[in-house]
Amino acid sequence: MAQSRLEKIGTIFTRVQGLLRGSAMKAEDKPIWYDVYAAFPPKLDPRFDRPAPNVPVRNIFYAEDVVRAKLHKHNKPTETISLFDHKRSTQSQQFVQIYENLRAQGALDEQRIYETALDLLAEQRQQAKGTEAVEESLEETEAKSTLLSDFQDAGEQQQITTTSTPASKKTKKDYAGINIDSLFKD
Amino acid sequence: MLRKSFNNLPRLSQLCGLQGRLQSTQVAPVEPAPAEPEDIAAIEQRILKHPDYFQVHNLFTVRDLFNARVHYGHKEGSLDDRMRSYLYGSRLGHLIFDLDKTAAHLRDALNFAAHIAFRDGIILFFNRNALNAHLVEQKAMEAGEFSHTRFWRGGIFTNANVQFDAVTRLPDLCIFLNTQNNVLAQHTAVRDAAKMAIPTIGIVDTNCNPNLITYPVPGNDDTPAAIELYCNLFKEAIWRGKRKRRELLGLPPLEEAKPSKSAGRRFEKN
Amino acid sequence: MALRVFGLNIIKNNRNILQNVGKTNGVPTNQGAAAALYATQVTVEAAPAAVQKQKVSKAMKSYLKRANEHDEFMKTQHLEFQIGKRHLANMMGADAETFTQEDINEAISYLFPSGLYDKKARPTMRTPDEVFPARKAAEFDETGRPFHSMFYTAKPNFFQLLHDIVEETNKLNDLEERMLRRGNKPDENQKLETAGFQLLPKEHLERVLVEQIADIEYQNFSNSMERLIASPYAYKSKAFIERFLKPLIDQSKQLEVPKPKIDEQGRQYITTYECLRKTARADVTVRLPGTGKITINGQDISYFSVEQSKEQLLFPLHFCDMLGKVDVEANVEGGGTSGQAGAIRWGIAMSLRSFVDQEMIESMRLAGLLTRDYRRRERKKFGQEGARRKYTWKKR
Repeated sequence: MAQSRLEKIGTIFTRVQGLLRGSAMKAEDKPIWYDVYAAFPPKLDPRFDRPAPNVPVRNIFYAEDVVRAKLHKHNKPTETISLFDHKRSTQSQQFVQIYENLRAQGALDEQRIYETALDLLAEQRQQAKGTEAVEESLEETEAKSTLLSDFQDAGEQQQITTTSTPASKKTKKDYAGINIDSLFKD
Repeated sequence: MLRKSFNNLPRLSQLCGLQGRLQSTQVAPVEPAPAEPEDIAAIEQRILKHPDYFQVHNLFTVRDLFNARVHYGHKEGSLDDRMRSYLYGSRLGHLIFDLDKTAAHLRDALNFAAHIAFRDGIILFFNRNALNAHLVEQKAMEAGEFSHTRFWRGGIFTNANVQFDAVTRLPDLCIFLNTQNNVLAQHTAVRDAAKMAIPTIGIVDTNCNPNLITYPVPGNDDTPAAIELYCNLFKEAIWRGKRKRRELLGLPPLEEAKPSKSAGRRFEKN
Repeated sequence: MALRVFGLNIIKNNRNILQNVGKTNGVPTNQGAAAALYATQVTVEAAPAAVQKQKVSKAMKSYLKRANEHDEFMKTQHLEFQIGKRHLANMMGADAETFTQEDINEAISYLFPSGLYDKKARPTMRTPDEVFPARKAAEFDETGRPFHSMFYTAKPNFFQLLHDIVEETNKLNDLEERMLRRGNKPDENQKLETAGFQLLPKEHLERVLVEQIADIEYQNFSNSMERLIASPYAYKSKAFIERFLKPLIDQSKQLEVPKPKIDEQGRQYITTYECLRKTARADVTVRLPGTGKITINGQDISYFSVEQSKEQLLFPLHFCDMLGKVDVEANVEGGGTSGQAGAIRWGIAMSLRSFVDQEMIESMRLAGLLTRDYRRRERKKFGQEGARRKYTWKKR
């Protein structure tokens, strides 16, 4: 069978086309994909030497990334997350929602919103724990309560440190003009 | 034990109602049948004028792709520059595909596969990822087509007449569910298919080279959920082509192998 | 005669059937039209909207050509075999019609005596069907489309097997999962016993699959089979697993100790036949209780004049501390003194197993008393004095 095996030259279509035009390949030996390819050519020619496009890869960031990063930087997340559980929202999701709600009310400055949101989150968790305790068995709630309390402890400690030490004031200032990239680096 | 239980979780495609969509949709309305039976070759040419004769555009939605985690790429460091135009961006170092572009490419690929199946072409599925090998073999069987998920002995295409001790018809379309042998090397069959002028459809991840693939589909080629989605889509597209052909030729419809959901339950009856 | 007529009829009938089929295939539309003429309400099958030109692929064409060539070749081979058989029958003065394969073998070994060691190297005459290996049937249809889904792997049967193993394993995993959720446990009584079995060895598997497989592929096979067998619910796929298990050579049978019989005087006795050593052959009877009387070919132990042979004979009795407690009768022929003594020794040891406890049998085995000694005389080599000894070497 007439054939060109040079895959680095042209495309499979142009090679077969050349053979057909030069009648090196008979019309009845035409491969069955030929007409389909002609009718629906691919978006780009499948050439071996097709140059790579010079397109920069942009970074994907969201507005709430700033506050989320802040949350994670100062609170070590201790909860266990099931990736198959789509119903339950994670603590950071809840936090972001509370934060957004507070900010929409627009009464407080950034730092205050952050602190109130943390408090509210802890409160919400406490309530959720209460309802869950009624519904679910003892063992499970025990496990959850430890996780929750850890988080609360961490949050309280955080507040103590922020109010007491002078060094924390410095970090507070940084929060305002926080650089997201630098936050995610470490 | 944990891993075993993952296999049992309901597949995402079932959750988002893809299954129903696969079954409910139909082939485009046929033109009034001519009085005289005409040569199938003429019909093959005629249906090429229809932009989407097998209605593959309604096989899936972008949300299906998203739910099957098609948008996840590899990390930035392993990016192949030729994949840049298919990307949406990079989220904290992880590349994310632009699913609109993926969907457009996937529809082209499905349409092509359906047309090849309509023309009674041989379609060969490839996959070198051991995690998904069984799934791909299974789906290829259900589609009534062929699969090669093992070590590629050089020369199966380029030296076929010697390898099989006979003149052998090569496949008319290769579908690569992943185009890499491992993270470093491309599957040799991609090159061999290009050599032998066999068109290819390939799922290309961010670390793959899409140049030699005739119909590249940018997307995640590792996750079993994504692979299952691709397999189901290609299977349905192929079946649409085949069903139409048999219908036109007046042949009885083929027995379609249903996915063996009840296979596991067989034991309980014993 | 009747049979032949009957066969002809069958052929005729077949032809008729074939013709009918041809008709129905030839004019499907006419029949539909005829039916429409005569019936008012008939569900006429929709006439096909398209027809396909029958195209035979290149692959099928070349296969058909090769198949034809092969058939021709086999035909001539068969003819030649028949002629050869007739000649052979003539030479042997037998009837050519009733000359069987056994007769052929006999005639060949008579007419062409061969001292070649390997039996495969000796002259033979067998039907061409046996001599030429069966050829693979076509693996694809007229359009060249292969039948097997994994045809392009070049080892479809093997990879299909691997696929099936994974299928079974997945099923068992699913089952295990469901059972765990329900709190059920696998049935201990039904547990799959694979102790006395081994996986099919590579050569055997290759024969079953009709494919050559590489070592690493066999490794893959055995790994996945082991994983399947290790599943706690493996007994559910027993039928599948047992297809690839082979019973180990039954050693327990050889180690099975025969029960002693009782003779006229009420004594227990056991006879071991075919006690072999070198070219000697003996059968040995041991009787309990006894006085230590030893009879060899009607004589006592002085049958052997050499001291070592006597020691050989008595060693198993001494080892089991049965000296003077049993009587031994032996008939021995062939071989020399030491061969005969060795044969009797082995016979006594084998017989004594019936009169001692399990522990003693085990220590007898460890002492090598129950092991057949397969050593034979080594041949003399030319240029040497004996098997190993060289001629005396003189410098000049």
